Formats: sequence, structure tokens, C-alpha cells
Amino acid sequence: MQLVVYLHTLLQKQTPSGPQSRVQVDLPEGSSIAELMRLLEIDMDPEHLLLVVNGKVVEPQHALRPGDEVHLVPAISGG
Amino acid sequence: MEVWRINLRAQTLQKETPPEAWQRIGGRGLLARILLDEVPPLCDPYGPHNKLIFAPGLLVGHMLSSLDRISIGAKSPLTGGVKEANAGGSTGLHLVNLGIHSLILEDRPDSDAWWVLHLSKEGARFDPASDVVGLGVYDSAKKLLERYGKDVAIALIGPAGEMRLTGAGIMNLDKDRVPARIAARGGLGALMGSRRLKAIVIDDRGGEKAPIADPAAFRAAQKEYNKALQAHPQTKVYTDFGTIAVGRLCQTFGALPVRNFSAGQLMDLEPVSAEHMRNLLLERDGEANPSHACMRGCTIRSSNVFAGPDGKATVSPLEYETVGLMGMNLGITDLDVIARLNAKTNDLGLDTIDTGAALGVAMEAGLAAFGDGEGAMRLLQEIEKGTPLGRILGMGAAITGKVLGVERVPVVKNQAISAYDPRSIKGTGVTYATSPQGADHTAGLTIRAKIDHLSPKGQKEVSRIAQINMAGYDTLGACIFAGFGFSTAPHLIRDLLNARYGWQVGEDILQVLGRETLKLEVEFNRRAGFTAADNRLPEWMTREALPPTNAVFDVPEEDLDTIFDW
Repeated sequence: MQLVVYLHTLLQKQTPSGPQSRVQVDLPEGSSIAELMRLLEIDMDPEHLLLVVNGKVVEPQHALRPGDEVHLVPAISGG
Repeated sequence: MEVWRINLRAQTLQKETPPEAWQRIGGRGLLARILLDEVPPLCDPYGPHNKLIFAPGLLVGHMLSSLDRISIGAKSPLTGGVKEANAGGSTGLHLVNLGIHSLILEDRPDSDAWWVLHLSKEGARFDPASDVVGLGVYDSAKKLLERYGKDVAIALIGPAGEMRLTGAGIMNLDKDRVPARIAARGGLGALMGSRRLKAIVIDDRGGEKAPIADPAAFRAAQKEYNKALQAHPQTKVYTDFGTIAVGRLCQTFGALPVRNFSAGQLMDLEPVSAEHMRNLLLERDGEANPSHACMRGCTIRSSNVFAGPDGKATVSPLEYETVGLMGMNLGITDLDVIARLNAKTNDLGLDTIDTGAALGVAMEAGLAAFGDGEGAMRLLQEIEKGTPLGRILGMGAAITGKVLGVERVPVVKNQAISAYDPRSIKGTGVTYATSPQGADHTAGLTIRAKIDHLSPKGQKEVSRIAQINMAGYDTLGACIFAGFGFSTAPHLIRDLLNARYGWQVGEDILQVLGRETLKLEVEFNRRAGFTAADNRLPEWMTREALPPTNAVFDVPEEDLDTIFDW
């Protein structure tokens, strides 16, 4: 399945054309956020991340579905 | 440490030993205690019985990272209730270096002359302020630094405070002598203006560092605290990106303040994203700096210096709340335009949250179009000129809405809601509604809670925890972001306090201080005549669905009325 993943702040992907905060990934249907993080080589403790799918906070085991909008947000507590 | 009690009518200083009940509390909690002990809750905020009080937090004075904040308070001219507004910079540190436990400014002068209050080892003295009155904050600070030397701390007001506009705050110098650390909320600048006090200059030469009961234990706790702060991944987010980093999370939750709180998401966040701002500041170089410390000793450096394309500083700092209220809320997404509006608002000595909210209401009333940066600047210039329209806007969103006949006014207790729409982050809505301070995200933001922010359930509980913790941090003199270090090692608050004062407090001291502070504040407001009706979000937020979540604020009223029953 195709997913759009938004990588906030520190998690941006460094590319030759500059840091990217939006990436498209291909994953087997039903994959968890933890598996998505492995694919993206993000080794930050999920405890220090906010995992948000379609605007809702979820746990690392949350099963993803086609078309989900995923945000991986390094801990931030306000502005 | 002494209480410095200054009578503004007689221009006298009396130094006192703090009574026992004031000795184990500081900052925000101490303000509430002094207000309850000395200020009649039903008094006229501008009358002679109100007092303007400066209270450094319990851990201020040691250059611990992010722990030198000053709390300033009074009965609020804006809310009519208890008020504490805090700021970074150097005011707190200098007061403590002079041995000042709290500074209480009483009564008001008889004459129309303006004054600078000068505090030093020699005591207090009143100097004429005729050469700075009427000047903006930046020019005033420059002149005062020329007159008193570059090493003093200064708390001052701008033209808005002089005009007694309830959007006015009290500005403080940061460590680089920039006067933009504002104790913003609740109209404290207007109160200072009503006292004909343009500035307070604090010269700590010859002062001494605050005493430490057990220096070795203090050093050990400080070392551990610094380590915990640096190890926390959140610290790097704030160092690199600053507070604006929370914008994308708000976009994700549909909780941005867009066009006078009529939508929760932008079509395109990128022009106001943290990532864009960082890249811009790195590219522009010159005076631009994405990682700036407002206080000496701060290792988080969440502040910034925003520079224009020529590399010259436009404003420092440019924070998320300002980008929210003076940008997105006005339909403006050009950071350079927002920075210029921010600089003008600072120069007037106004709170960017309440002023941004007032401009949003004015745009809804048709005084300028959403997205019109020049129109927004023209409205700020009305305030600068002191025209009737300008004075209305400078009073904040609540008055502006009443005068212009707008229903969609984002305020609680007359104080503007900050840059998190409470319909999409309902726990923060509970905080806005119930905080004795009025709508204020710093009183207990819940965005970090792992909870369904759209459900009405469980919001009372997350708000209560956040409000208690924040009241505790405000009592220590801690920046919100010092909390990362303490969150992984809460025993360090106990250890630092016990080493500093020779106390024997337990690990729950943060919550003990927080609960005590809230209890005092709630009691002051009760005596000031506040009821359940004051602890509500504006009614339209319970009816008007917020796109795209289509949420309304639906946390049960019973939850709001019982939040402080613990």
C-alpha cells in the first residue's frame, strides 16, 4: 500500500536537494507504525515521538491502512 | 532575601523580612499569596489598593539552564482576577542578586510626572523619565542603557502601557540587552502606566549571589539536571527549530488559529513551517540565528533572531504564538511580514497574542482584509497614534469584539485564546476555560498528551495534570522547556530546592507547589466575584464546528466545574 508520511523537524530526510519532510512509502497492508519506522531507518524511541495517523494519536502497534496520512513527530510540548 | 516594598506616592523604600508564609513559595505562587494577603480582591485594578509585584521563582539566581524567569503580577486590569505573567531575560537574576525576595509597588503617585525607578545596593531612587516617555520600547531601552550602563536589567513599558491599554505587557531585556522578553498577558503594562512608571532599572553591581545551603549537593543536582536536559530529544527540537515547530503538529490536529479561529488548518503550512524558518535563517546568515538563548546559562536556546533578506535583525524572537495570532489568524503566511508586525507590536509594548486576536476580530469586522499585511500594520499604527480605533484595538480582542459587534471573539475572562484552537485540542480548551489566569496556553497545554484530542472524555484529567505542573514550574521560575530535564528526573527539583534552602521537601514538591498556587489563585478569583460563568469558553465555540475536524467544544460543564476538586 502507498502511504504519505510527514517527518517533522529532526526526522526530515537529508537529500542532495535539501531536507525533505514529506515522503511516500510502499508497505504491506496492515503494517504497523513500528515497521514503518524500521523501513525509514528511524531509530528514535517511540516514547519520544508522537505518532499521529489521520489526525489521531496512535500507539506503535497501530496497523496502517491504504491512504493513511502518517505524521512522525519528535517530542514537542508546545510553543 | 528581603521584601522591597516601595510606595509610589511617597517614593519610599521599606525593606522587610518575608513573613513565614512567603518564604517557601516563589514566582507565581508567591504572587497569589501576596495578592490574597494584601490586595482587596474587589478593588479597582487601577486604584490605589492594587499592587504591582515582581517575584522571582524559587530557583532563580543561579543561572541554572532555563530557570531564571521573573513572575510579575497584580489584580489584572484585563481579567479583573488574579494575574501572573512571566518572562525570561535578566530581570529575575538581577533582582535576586540584590537580595530581593519580592518587589511590591504600592499606591500611586499624585502628580502626572513620569518616573524611572532605579534599584541598586544603595536602595531605591526615582529619576525623571521625561526623556523616554512617549518613546517606543526599543528607543526607550537604548536611552536607558546609555544612561544607566549596559549591564543593568530593565523592565519597561511602551506607549501602549502609557495609554493604559489592557493589551500592554511589561518588557524585559534579554541577555543581549534586547527589550523583547515580555510579561505579556493580562494588561500589567497598563497597570504600570497607571503608576506613571516608565521603567524599572535594576543595577546589581555589588550584589551577591543568592545563598546556597548545601553547595556540593546543589552542584551535583545541577550537573545531573544539565545532563538530563541535554539528553532529552526534545531539547534538540527546540534548539534547532524553536517553538514554531509545534505548528505542524497543530496543522496535523486541525488546531491552528486560522482567520479569526474560523478554520483549524492552512491550505499550505510550508511558508510558516519550522523547517522553512530554519532554512531561511541559515541562508540569510548575518544577524539571523535559529538558536538563541534569552537567559544567561540557557542550554536549550529555543529563541531565535529573525533577520530580513539583508541579514539585519527584524525581531528577536519570532515565536510560534506570534506566527499563529499575528500570522495565520490574520491570513498572513509571509514570515517577513509577520516579523515586522511582531517588531511593531513589541515596540508598542503589547502582547502579540491579544493584539493579534484583536486584529483578527477587526479583520472579520471588515477593517482590513484577511491576508492584508499592510492593513494589519496600518491598524497597529492606529494604536501607535493613540486614535480612538487604535485604543480600542490595544485593549485586546474582548473589547474590540464588543465595539465592532463581532460574535466570534476568542477570549476567556477577557483574555485572548492562544494559538491552539480548543475545539480540536479539548484538554487545552479545559485549561483556557478554567485557569484562574484566563485563556493561556502556558497555564496547561495538553497537546503532548497521548489522548484523542477530539473526544470530550479524559480532558479534565489531562488539563488538571498540566495545570498543576505548570503552576509548579511557574513557582520555581522555570521555563516550560526546563520541564524536559525534570520530566526524566523529577527528583532533581527536590534536590535543587533542598540544597538551595536546606529544606526537606519530597519528590512531589512540583505538584505540591502547583496545587497550592492554583488553590490560592482560585480563592482570589472567588473573592473577586468570579463564578462558573467565567470558567467557560465563548459559547460560539460550543456551536460552531471547526473545519476540517468539524469539532465543537463539548467537554461537559460538570468537568469544568470540578477540575480543581482534588
